[in-house]
Amino acid sequence: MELAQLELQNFRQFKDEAIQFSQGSKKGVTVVHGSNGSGKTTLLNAFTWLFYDEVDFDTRPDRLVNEGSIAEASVGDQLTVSVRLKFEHEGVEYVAQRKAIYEKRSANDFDGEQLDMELSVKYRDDSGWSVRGNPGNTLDRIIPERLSSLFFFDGEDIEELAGVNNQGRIQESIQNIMGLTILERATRHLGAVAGRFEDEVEENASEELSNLIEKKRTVEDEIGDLEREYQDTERAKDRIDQEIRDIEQKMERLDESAALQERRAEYRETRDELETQVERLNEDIRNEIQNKGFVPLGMPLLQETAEELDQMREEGVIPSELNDSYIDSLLDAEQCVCGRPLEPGTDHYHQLQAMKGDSVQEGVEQSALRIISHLNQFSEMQSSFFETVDKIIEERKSIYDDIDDLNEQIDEVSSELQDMDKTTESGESVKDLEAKRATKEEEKETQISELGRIEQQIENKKDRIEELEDDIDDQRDERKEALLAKRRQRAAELVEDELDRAFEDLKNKVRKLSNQKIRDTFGSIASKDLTAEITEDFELKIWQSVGGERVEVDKSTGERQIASLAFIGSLVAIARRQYEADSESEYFTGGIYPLVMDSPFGALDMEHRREVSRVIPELANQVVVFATDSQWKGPVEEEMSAIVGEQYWLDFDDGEGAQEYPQTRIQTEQTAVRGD
Amino acid sequence: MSETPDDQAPSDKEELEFDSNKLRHIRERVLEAEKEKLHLDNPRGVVNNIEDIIREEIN
Repeated sequence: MELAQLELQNFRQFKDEAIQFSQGSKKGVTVVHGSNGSGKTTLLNAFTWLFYDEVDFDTRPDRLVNEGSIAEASVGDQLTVSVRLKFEHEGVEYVAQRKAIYEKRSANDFDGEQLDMELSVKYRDDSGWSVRGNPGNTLDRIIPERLSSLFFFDGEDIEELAGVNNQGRIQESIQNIMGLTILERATRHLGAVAGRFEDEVEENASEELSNLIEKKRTVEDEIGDLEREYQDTERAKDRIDQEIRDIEQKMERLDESAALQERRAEYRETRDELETQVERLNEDIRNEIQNKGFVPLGMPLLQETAEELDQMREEGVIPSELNDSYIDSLLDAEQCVCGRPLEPGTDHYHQLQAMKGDSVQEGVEQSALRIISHLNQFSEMQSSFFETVDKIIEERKSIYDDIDDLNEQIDEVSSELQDMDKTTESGESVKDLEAKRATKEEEKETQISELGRIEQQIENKKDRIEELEDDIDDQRDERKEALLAKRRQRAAELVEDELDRAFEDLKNKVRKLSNQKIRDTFGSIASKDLTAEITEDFELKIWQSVGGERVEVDKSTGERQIASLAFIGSLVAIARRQYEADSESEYFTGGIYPLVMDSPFGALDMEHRREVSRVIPELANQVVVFATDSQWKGPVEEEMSAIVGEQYWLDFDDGEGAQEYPQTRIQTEQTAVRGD
Repeated sequence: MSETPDDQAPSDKEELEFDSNKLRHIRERVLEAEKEKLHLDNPRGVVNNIEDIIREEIN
């Protein structure tokens, strides 16, 4: 999407104004200068009103119609409020217009009553201009409403995007723009359709098949119940965790208990490290078993074979049994041991014939010795296997002992705290708090084992579903309807599985790509010791390097704003790159999006303003910035002036005089502006 | 009833196998149907559309 021109008629303080947007990547920035209250936010609202019939005004939110126009109108007069936007999207020119008709009801009516509202979208193709039948739908497809705040955004709220409560929005934005939503939805909907066909199979099936399907449904319901139980238990565990943290915080406020708690934290940290080491050793044991575990299992047989072979060799059985008479038997049968025919007169036949005699005896003897020697090597391998595993087990035991010691010390700290005769500022005794904490720890352990139990049950039930599905597949039903429904169900499931795999692949790819882009963008704007990351769960996190360690930072407003800008800029850049690359994928298509930003630099310090101004225009094709002079002057202007294609100044007249009303004119010359 | 003679089992399995082109065609049509309603928060009716696609493709 590329914006061309915005026209406003009677829209709030704009009576009849227009803005021509700068286009082209070299000078793609349009700046609208305006003092506070001059109408910058109204311009942003003009976009959302046109696209989605949504506005967000701090003052007089119900008054859309221009105050001067309605004041000058007579009672009963009708006024038109209109926003018209010309733009281009995917090579097609569009003109979108929303018009609302207001009627003045009384002499003191400055809001007017809305009589009618109409949205129209026309587009131009080879045959000229045509009208879209469903204009709202058309605009929503170009920029979905739920993503609109990414592209038309208010700088005062922007930092919220990187806030803890907005992780869902970040996930959704990435998934939507990068084509994951379509895959996720298609997978889910195909599952529902497969279920419908399964119902149909059941309706038309034999009793036996119908029973199997019924059983499968029951197990599926049970899995659903268990999954809900799992989530509830997990939430309960999280609540207990929070309670434990709260208790610990209370105790930390008292010096004596704080020292003990600190000691306990150290013990726990060491214990966690040791537990990680145990995990590593367990992994080593698993690898050892995987690579050499077959040796002890096959050892009795290997030994027996080696001994027998050796005995046969000593007794001279091997050469006598395997040499001439064996070769004769092969030549008589005219078939080689490898299965190929042995036709007299062929090279192969002669070769085998030539092997008869002493030399072959020697060869077989040597081969037997070699085999015996190989078999004996397994014995050495077995010794080495046991030696390695024993060593790891010994090491693990020693760590377990250390963990036991630490647990004892942790218990001792708890006992000391429970014996402490001190009271916190809030009047609670340390003794009681620690006892409560210990109880909570026990409750938490119970919840953790409960989670394990539920998880195991879910696994078992999933195995059962697989068995039932195999049984269902094995059922043959003569009825045509049932078979057809079964075929349709299977087709839906196969496509569902394929899209699910594509979803997982793409998810990893997208995460990697967005992570890299956001890290680069944020890295080029923020301080050197800060890094941004999109986690496995598509959460935006900001990390700080402190003494070589990476810690998550509580985002200050400035950092959050930078992170949000970096995030949006990166998304726009990835979507653009994807679109321009003309991807082969059916769903990973990307798109071109403009960035319309109201006061995006408000909360930033000078240096960050400079960096953001430098980076954002590199990410988006087209940028529209609404800014006060104080936000614009200095680093922002220095960085952006070379790429600004169009500039406007909002000339606001507050209409204080008699028969005067607030009005903003959009000027192309700065000289006309009345103050900042 | 479903007493299955062993010799019929393979043909039954074959009934549930599909040409990869057929599955690709279904996939493309399903994704197209989803794309049409991607802008909606709650795309009602798309499940019906997908059901129709499968009915048309597998008959």
